[in-house]
Amino acid sequence: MSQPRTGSLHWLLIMPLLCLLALFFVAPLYFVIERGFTDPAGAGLDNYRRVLDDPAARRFAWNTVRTAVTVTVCASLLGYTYAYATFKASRRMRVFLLYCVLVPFWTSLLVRTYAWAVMLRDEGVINKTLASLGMIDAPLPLLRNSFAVTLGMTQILLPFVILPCYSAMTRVDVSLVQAARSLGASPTKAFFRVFLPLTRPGLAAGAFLTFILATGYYITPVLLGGPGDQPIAVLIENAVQQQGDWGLAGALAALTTVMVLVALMAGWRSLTRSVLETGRKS
Amino acid sequence: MSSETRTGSEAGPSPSGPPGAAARARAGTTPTGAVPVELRGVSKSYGTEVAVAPLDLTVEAGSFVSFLGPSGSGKTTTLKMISGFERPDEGAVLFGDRDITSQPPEQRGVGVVFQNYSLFPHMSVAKNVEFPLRMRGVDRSDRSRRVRAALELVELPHVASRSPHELSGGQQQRVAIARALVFDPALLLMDEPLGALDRRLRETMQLEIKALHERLDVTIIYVTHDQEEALAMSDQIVVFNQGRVEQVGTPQDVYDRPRSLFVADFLGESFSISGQVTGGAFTADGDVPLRLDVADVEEGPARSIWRSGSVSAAPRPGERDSWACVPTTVVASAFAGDHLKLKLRVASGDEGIVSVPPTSSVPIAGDALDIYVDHARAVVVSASGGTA
Repeated sequence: MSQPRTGSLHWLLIMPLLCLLALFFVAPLYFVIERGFTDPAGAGLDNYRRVLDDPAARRFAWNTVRTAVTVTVCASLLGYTYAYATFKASRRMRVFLLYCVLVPFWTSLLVRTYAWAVMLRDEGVINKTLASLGMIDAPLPLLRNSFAVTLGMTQILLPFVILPCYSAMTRVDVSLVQAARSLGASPTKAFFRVFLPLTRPGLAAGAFLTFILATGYYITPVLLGGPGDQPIAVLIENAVQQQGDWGLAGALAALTTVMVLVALMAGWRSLTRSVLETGRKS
Repeated sequence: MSSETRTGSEAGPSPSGPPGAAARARAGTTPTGAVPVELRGVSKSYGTEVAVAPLDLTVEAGSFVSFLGPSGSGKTTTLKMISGFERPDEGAVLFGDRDITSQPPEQRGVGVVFQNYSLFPHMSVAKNVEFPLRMRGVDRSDRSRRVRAALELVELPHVASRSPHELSGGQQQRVAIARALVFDPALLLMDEPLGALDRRLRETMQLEIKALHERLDVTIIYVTHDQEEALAMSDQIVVFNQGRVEQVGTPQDVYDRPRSLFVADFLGESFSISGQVTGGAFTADGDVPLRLDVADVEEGPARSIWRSGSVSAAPRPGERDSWACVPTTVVASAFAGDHLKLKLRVASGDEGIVSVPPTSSVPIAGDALDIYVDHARAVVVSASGGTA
């Protein structure tokens, strides 16, 4: 699927975006990372040594990765299922279900996080309902733990899985599933052998988006999590706001970026391959 | 047109038996034999729209039957009720004496070939062909042997490891056929399988599919809207129109003896004249001097239909006596080498297109032209039923 060469014209078209990216993303990233090596003067690799020797930094890094992986797995499973239900629903139901995804998407992240905090706290709707039904004596510990973080982040990031999955599903030729059935596959087998592999690009794209976004999440884990759930973003914020230690913050930011890039590269081959496959199909 | 006119009832397993059995022996299976298909009063509606009105139809074991009709005529819906992708609102579908009306597609053991090939893009050609065998739990060594045999059957053994998108349209459709045949189905359904191919390739594939049918012991139901394809390939043609079956018969039957104007029009060029049936005879309207004895046509308005082969602008000696002369006006004409294509108008105002043997001079628009029509080959149909 090679595009016809249009000379320099299409470069001109993406120039505005490239300029914007260079100015507001690449340049700041460069300055932040540079400070990791130059602040304080002549720091060299000192900041990185400090980060790697600090058990707190290691713990926070682990928190970040653990939360991101859990959220990615949960959001992928739930999101794919939701997208499939939407895909299979009647046309009117489909519109309704897609709106249910989009409306929270348009609500502020902070508002949604606080809404979860309000619902999950000891005097929140959930605990009160359970108590009034006589099912619990003491409030369940729903807030300030990994459960709350996973729940909140999964809900917030779900659209990033649902939308690419749904889009991939609408592009699948339904006669392929029918063909599988006519060739002797039960509905379950037809799904796992044909439908799922063909929608994998959408799932992969959604999962990667979720993972990348989850790695950089700050507000939600801070508001919903306990001490064991604080992400690396908290350390960066701390270094800048409390200690004014731009060097340490730079090193932390660089290491986080590298972490995401490594994860991306690990999955890159399968992602690009599946994206190319869908491209060829159409 | 094919000279072969064996009817379904003659086309039992016997003529294709021995070579079919040989192919089966190569594929390593015990012959199960082609299966007859019977539809008993099946109907299907979508909301208020009737897709298929109650329909009775029997397809003989081992025959090649085409469902022919325009889009929306119910032929594909009928096919889907046989393959199991649609459930009839009423009626029953039988394979032999097995009632499969409520069975899901995967339990019917029917091979289906789709118009857009429907090869799995994420599997190699070999994996595609192997798919139905895997679903049936056939063991590995048996699988690879049968995949090879199926690909040899469609003369594509060398593409086994390729990806479907690396093949041409014709090759993809042959792989789809191999995949539909690899598990030795007793019935093969083909839904406009050549619709996406160009004309030349389509003609080659028609011959290949027909040759496959001769070799294998399988009943084929073939859906098409291309009348030439149906005429060339089928033992029997079922003509569909607006959810109903207009006519069932051999290709020559439906071509030469259409039972309605719709069938006559849909199956090719024809020239028809309006008139009245009274007292067992057809009289043309207006000043057209034509009178034909008819039987089995209800009294009232009717049309008399001729195929191109029974119309001539310059009859041979002798034909002049047995053929009726009809004065016409030429509306348009075109010379096409071995024939003349003429658009003609008769006195009553009816127009029609016929191909006639070339005459010494080509008539031009506005010319008066006497054409001769063969009494014996005229068909008279009631104008009230079956018009499009």
